[in-house]
Amino acid sequence: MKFGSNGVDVRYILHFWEKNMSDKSVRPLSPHLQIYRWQWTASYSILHRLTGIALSFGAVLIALWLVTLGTSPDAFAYVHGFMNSWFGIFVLLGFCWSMFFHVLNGIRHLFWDMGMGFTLEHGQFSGHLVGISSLVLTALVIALAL
Amino acid sequence: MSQSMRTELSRVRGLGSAHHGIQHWWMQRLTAIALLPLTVWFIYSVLNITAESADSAIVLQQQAQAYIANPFNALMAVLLVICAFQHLQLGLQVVIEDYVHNATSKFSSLIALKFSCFIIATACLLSIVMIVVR
Repeated sequence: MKFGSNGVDVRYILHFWEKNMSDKSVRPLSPHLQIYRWQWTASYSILHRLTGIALSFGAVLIALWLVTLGTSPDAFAYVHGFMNSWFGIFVLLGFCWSMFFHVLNGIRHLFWDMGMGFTLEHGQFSGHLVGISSLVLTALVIALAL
Repeated sequence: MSQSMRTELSRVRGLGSAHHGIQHWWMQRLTAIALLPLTVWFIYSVLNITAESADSAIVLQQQAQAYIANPFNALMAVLLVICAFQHLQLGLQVVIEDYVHNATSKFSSLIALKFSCFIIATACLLSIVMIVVR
């Protein structure tokens, strides 16, 4: 597989231009993931969606905890046991980091909604700030929980 | 003179090409803003409840019930459940709409999403009420 100067598969670039230049009867292709160079901001964008999906599944686990908390001691003990297993702790750590990332990146989105921070430098800087802060805050929670 | 191709009526209605206006977008932002303080309370609460290391599940359950039974905490828990599930439901709806194009799969997953969010959130709220009135 050959790659162009921006790390993209040459065959895809050729296919893209061949289709868009020659075939006038068909609507042109939009450049998609395969034709763009990898960028930090793109990674932070997809991480926002992925952490959002992860948090949704995590919310079901928290809901299970809350529902058993008010009802059955046996069921609560079962959920408690899962959350204290190595797999449960792994899941909760993932939930914790996802929450910090999604909340901080959500604040980044709210600034964009106000029309602020749209330049390349600002977008990249605020992304790094969110990424690093989410890791630091997760470490802080681990330290406080121990 | 307007250069726009849109009719005056379309502009006044303000519903855009999806015919839904900004309702979805606006509710997602509103719940996002509400979730900022609620998340801080959630993290504080989890650390608070688990602070006194309870080895047995029974002891932890009693501590957590006492914590949620406090009126302020009960209010925050109710608000968190409502805002979180509303926000989650709007977010996952967009994910489904982005990736699922077959009409049958799309609408069945959307219906399943909305129903399960409503059921789980209601179960959470009922549980909080049961803990408070216990």
